[in-house]
Amino acid sequence: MTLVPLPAFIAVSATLFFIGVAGVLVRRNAVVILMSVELMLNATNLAFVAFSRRLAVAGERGSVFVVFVFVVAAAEVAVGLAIILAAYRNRPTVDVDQLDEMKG
Amino acid sequence: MTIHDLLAVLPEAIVTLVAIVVLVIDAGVGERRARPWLPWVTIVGLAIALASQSWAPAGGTFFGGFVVVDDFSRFFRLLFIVLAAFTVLVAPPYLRREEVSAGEFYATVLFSTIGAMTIALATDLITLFVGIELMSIPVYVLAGLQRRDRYANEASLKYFLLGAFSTAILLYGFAWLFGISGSTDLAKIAAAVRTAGLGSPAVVVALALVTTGLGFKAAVVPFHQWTPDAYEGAPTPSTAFMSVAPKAAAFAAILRVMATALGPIQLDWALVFAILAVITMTTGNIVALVQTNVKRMLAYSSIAHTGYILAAVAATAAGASAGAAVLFYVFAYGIMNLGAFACLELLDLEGTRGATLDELNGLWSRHAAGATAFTIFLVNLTGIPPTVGFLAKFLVFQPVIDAGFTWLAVAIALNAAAAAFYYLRVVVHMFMYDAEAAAPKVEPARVLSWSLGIASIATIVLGILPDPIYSFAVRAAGPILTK
Amino acid sequence: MNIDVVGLVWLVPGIPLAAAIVNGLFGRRWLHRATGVIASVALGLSAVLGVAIFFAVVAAGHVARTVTLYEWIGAGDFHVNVAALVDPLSATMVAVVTVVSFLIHVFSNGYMEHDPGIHRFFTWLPLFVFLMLTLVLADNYLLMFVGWEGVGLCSYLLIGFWFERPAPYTAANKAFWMNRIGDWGFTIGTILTFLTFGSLTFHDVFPKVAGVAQTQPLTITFIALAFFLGATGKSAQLPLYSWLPDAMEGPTPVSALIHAATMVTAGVYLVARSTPLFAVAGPALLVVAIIGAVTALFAATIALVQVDIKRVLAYSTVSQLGYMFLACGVGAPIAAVFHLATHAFFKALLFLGSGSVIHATEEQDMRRMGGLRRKMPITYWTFLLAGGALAAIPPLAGFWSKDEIVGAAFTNGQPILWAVGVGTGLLTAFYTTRMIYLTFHGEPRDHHLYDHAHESPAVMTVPLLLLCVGAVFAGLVLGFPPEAGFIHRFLEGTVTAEAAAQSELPNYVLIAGLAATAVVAGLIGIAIGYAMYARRRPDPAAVSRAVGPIYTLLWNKYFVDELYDHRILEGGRALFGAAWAFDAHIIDGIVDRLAWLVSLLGSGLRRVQTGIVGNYALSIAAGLLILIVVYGGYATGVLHR
Repeated sequence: MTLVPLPAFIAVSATLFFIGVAGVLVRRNAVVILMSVELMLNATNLAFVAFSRRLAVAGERGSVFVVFVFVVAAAEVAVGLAIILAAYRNRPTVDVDQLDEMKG
Repeated sequence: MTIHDLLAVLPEAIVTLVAIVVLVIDAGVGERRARPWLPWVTIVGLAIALASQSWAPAGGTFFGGFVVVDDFSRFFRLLFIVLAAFTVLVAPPYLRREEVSAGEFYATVLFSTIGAMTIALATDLITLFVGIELMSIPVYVLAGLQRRDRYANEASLKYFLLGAFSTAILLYGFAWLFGISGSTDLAKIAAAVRTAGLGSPAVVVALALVTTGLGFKAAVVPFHQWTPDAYEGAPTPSTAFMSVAPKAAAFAAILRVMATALGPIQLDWALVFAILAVITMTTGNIVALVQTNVKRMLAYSSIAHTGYILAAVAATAAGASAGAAVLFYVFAYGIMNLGAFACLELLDLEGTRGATLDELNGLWSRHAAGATAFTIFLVNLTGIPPTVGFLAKFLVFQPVIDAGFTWLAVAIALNAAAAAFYYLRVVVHMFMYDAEAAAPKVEPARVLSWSLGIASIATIVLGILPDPIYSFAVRAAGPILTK
Repeated sequence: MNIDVVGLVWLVPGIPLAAAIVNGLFGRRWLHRATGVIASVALGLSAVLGVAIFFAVVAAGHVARTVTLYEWIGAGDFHVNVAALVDPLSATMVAVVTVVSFLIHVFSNGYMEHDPGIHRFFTWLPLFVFLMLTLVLADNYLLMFVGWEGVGLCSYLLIGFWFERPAPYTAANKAFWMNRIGDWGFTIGTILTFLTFGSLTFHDVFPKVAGVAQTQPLTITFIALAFFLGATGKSAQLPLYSWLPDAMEGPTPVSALIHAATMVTAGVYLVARSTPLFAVAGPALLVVAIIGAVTALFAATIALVQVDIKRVLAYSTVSQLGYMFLACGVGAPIAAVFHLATHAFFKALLFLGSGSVIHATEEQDMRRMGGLRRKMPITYWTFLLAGGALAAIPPLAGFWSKDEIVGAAFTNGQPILWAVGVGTGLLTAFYTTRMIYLTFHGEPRDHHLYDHAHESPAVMTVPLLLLCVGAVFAGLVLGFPPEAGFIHRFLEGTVTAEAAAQSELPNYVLIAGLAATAVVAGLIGIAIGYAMYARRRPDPAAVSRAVGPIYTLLWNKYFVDELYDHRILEGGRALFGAAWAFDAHIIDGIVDRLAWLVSLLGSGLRRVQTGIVGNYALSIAAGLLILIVVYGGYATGVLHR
């Protein structure tokens, strides 16, 4: 059984990353933007794991890194949702385009 | 993990403990009774953390290479502890007035400080990433701590969404660095980068991603747009903290990553950084010129200062003097910018809003000490001698010229000359115009006034006797930039 | 007993600083009017020490001693000390600055007596003196810059504290930008100096100048021009001069101290201090001479038509500073320093005299004065003598120094600049005469004002008398015989490059001839002024009617605003077009356009800041993309570093 080559993983990772970036750029819903960011983080995780497993020089640090990313991302989401919720209480919308009172 | 490992991070451990103690006191004793005591608990804790360094091992790498204690990390420990203490000293009147939970504020500041200190300890991408996130996430919270204020909501949401976005970009850059080297250790990455060179597309991608991600944290144009909105909408004590500590930490990270891991291809990014520096300082200054809200103006001014510091980063080819210039500038900037924002806390304004120029009219006759301190901070930011702000700017010139960027030095001089206009305009309003009938009430806070007074005098003393800090900065830059 | 006075040089700026700190901390609550006494005593001590140091340097001959306080910045190959350079030049400056400052401080006790902000005044004024002395004593460009920026800031704030009426915003802007342009020049000069010489300390830089001039003449010229740009801003020369008349809004002692005797001469001092640099800077020196001469003439013409007594003096100061730069430019820096010293005395005296008049009448418009000599004899006589010094009447102080400058222009091969200098001398004599007659002579034109006028108290008149001693005798004491007097022997070798030091005896026939020409020109100016304003013959109005249109144009240009005739006033202004237009349109225009352009750019950039998160994210992503393209460009060789 042949292994899936490393570039394939990287291609998938890059695709995920760009989908995430595009999501951040085009979506207006704060929660969806947050989900797009998570997609970018997962693209990163995929890259880390792939590099870690397939690069001859690489050790297990890549996989360790992924664990840290999981934990930190969870914290980030928790804080993020709290912030979105606090904003929602004062102004019931999740459309970030309407958050434009400060500009210039 | 040995006892040595734990002792090495004793200051960080103590700050963590203090943060927890603050939260426990706040919850246990009750908001109202704890309020007067919490700032002092925090400051004593920070002082102990700073002093505890003497029990720590002399230096070296710990936790199997994840953490390094050297003069660089010690310099930033000192800086972050000073900044956190200063923030805590000046915050209480505002927090009381706006009914922001004091315990939450101090604990969040402390958590962010731990993150910032961790960044300075990092010689490994994992430590660095954890540090950056540990610093950033509490700052998103700080921006929105005044939960019922629409501007605070907007500030923190914008900061959070863009911050998370940029962190993801930075992290993807880290993944590529790992892909190049198969290691998360900065020195090993440097070795791999040296072999690969810029010819490898992976290096190109990693370099661009990392520049963007770190540029965001330091508010480099064009990654800066969150800055004015987040600074303006955040509660003023939060703004004061988040305008200095995260920026200083960002530059610690930039020095660690750019000078160590990406140092071998320094020639390839130096010019880009120099150009970014000019764009950053010019944009910051020009837009600051047309602002009428002083808080927002100071936000743009902080972008301009990022440009000056970035110029020194671009000059790392000049060796340790460039690193020392960055460190000294970051230190000077930390005190003067925090002080300038803290002066705005003197005024009782609705919500998180900063004072407009007209609302500062005649502040001199209404609160002489505050107006004088504010003037000194602004003179610092302008870079007029003999203040530390002047010296910081001046020390940037030498490495920049040594590195061959004479045009960059000229641009800095031009920018500094023009920037004086908007800083001193504030002074003019405070001293020369009569207060308006509807002028905002002035806070009669004693601790706040004394802190501002001492800090403003310190900026002058440091300008006249810079040697203790400057030699420390030179020593601290050594491990990063010895050629 | 043998005290090392020079070693105590730090007390000279130190004592005023201490006074400023004490007054700043305790003035508002406790000291009030006592701040004036504290400041005056401090300045007195400082002046005694300053003069003692001056004599110590005189006694020691050509010393140049560096007194180091401590190392300011010392890391790697970059060292800057906080150190005083005590040599004949700085000793002369210190003596002049401390003595004049002391007298002005004493005078201010009377002048500011009823001002509720007196404690602030006596905080900022000694602080200013401290910074001015730092500037003068610095042994390197960086420390000099400390003083340079500091005095600028003090000046800005001192003018501002006493704005009685809201100043025109654009005027304040103009003053600010002009000074910043100048400061930028100084910064660039400093950076280039460090880049070229690897040091900022005078005694490291100057010995290397000649060698570098051989290999990089353009660099030296450029450094000199950058420093001169700094000097034009601080010393109010073309094109950055017009902030100085606006600065007259401040209290009169401030005008006397900052805008006549000390701060505005900082530019001259900078050029004189950097003489070794300028001496080999080729075209830069000619630029200095031409700018100086043109400014002298230009400002003198404007002074002719001013009706505000302080504005006459302000333009006169600009004009006299022009003379000093002319001297530097034609290779006679000693004459420049000499004129700087005498000018400090007589111009401070003129300002304080005008202050005495303003104090007595609360009026600055000379058209409402007249006949005041009977009411204020001391003020009148001192003002008259100072005016004589300004008009360069022998043997008063101004004669010796100005004559030397004009003469130097001739002997150093610049006959056109010499002619400009002589012509300006004529104009100077005329406007001085006019000012004195309008203020002190003739019949009172406003009886209410005249009846309330009174001589000022002794605290104000004694400083006038003491300054008058300087205004009368300084020239004789320092500068006689011409070109071989005390000051020449004293400053030779310090200010002049060794090569330029002349050994042969001066040509006294030529000197006397040139001096006679200048004196005659001055006397003609006085005679015209006397005829116009004392005798009313030719009566200005009659003249303008009688003679042809061309003649009318010429005459109207000089006394139009004295005729109280609005129609002629307007006409005169139109005729005076060149000068007015240059001031109001070209210079202001450039400054305004620049400010306008910057704010337009700012407003444009503001619009990019839309407040919408998506746009911000787009900016980040676009930045990332550009970085990838640029780095990729490097990698593939498409772009070059």
